[in-house]
Amino acid sequence: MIRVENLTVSKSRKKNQYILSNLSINFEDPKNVIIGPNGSGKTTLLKAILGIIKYNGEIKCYFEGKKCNFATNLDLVYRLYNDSVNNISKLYINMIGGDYNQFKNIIETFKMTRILDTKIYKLSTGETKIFGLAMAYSLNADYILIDEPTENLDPSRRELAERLIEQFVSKRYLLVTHDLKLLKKLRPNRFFIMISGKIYGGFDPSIFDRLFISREGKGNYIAEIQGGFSKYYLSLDSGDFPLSSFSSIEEILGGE
Amino acid sequence: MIFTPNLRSILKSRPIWLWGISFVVFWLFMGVFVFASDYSIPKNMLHEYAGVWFALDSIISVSAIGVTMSYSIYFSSNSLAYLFRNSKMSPLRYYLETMASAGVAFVILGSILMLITGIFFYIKFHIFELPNLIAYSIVLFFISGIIFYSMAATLVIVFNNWLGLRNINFISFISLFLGMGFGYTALYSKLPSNIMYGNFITPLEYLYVYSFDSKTPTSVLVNPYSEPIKLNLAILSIFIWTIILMLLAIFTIKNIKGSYIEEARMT
Repeated sequence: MIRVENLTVSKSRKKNQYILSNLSINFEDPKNVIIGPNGSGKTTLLKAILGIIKYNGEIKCYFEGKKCNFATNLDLVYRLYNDSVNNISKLYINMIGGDYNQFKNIIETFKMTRILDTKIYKLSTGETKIFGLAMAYSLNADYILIDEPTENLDPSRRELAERLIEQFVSKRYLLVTHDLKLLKKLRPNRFFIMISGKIYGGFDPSIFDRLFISREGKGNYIAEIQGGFSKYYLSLDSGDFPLSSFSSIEEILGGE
Repeated sequence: MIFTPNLRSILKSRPIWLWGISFVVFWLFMGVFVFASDYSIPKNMLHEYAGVWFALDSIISVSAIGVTMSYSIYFSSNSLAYLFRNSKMSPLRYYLETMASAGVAFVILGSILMLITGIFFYIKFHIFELPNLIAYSIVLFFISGIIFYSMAATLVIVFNNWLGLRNINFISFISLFLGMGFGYTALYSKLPSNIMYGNFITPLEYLYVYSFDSKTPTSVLVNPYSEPIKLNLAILSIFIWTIILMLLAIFTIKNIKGSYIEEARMT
């Protein structure tokens, strides 16, 4: 379980401006997805859990009685040296534990073997994404933290990435995305909605197709979500628009 | 675990070969073939002359390594923060291995400088000038690497973690400014004793001179008649500074946080 208590992350050098403010949430189930628009604080939450940014509050993760370790697809944690992908992957697998053959197989599946001899700082954005995914899946970690796994990938590789993530069935993960279609494909144990640094849920994905979003809170709603300027209400079986009719959270918020 | 990749990373770094070797070799060339041309250097002073250039160039070279190490630590800060929490690499182990690799790297680079010094003096004066106490010089190379690496690590992490560093350029060049500042000052001026022994660069420079001609250096290196330095104080100063900088580096590395860079493509 990952427990987050009163997590606050402020913007650099700016007082009283927070990316996350007193955020408290427990990720009790093994497979979790957070959906949210750009700028909602999803990646910041992952970075705080990884321990690579300053924060106030408490983050605890225990698995089978001991402190968790994490793997991630965020490439910024794999930049220890400006060395080739091959050497970097071997070094990290040596330090954390993992399977180099699995890493290589994933790279080959994406038809990206050319990046093995490329220096890590010279990878393109898409290549970096694939490298990150391959590392996340190949390292021995209690939890995998995945940030926007299919962004910047061409359509064929996007499909490969989605299939790879579906293979995470044996792993514990926390995945953040703004792509609602990806949520439907993954079928996690729980999903959460994150907007403007606030998190709502966890909802059972089986109710996803029954969820509606409305501008006014009619009847029993299961969550009140604060967008940029407006409030939205999440309800079951009735409302203004079915959540499944949107492809991303940004569509719902309409640019707020 | 990371001793070898770190050593390889330092030795393959283009800025190190540019600023730590080529730039210094240029000044060595000037010292041997240009500055020495306007007046003749008595043969009995040639070894001392070579020793002063060797000392100055070693200081500037190792301070250039400090610049490169600053960039390296800054751009790997996210990775380090991640690895200390999620892998079997501890901050202490990371520091000890990188410190050792910085020391060994400067033994290699310093030895190259030493050889080039000998070659240049041989071409000009037909005498292959090398340190009298080569082993002493090599130990100094190793200690210099440790000191400048520890200082670079401490400065970058303090500025990144606590002072909100956004631009690495100025901070990374502090070691070069200090190296050149104190390095050239010791050539021409006698610093007050508390400053002379209170910094780690001037005593290092004096010890390099000592390793070259095995004579106690004078406080003004170009003036053989100026007051000789106190070698014991110089050694004590280096010893104390090494301990202080090592402890500071270990503490700051343990508390490293990621830097706010989104893109850090290095050539």
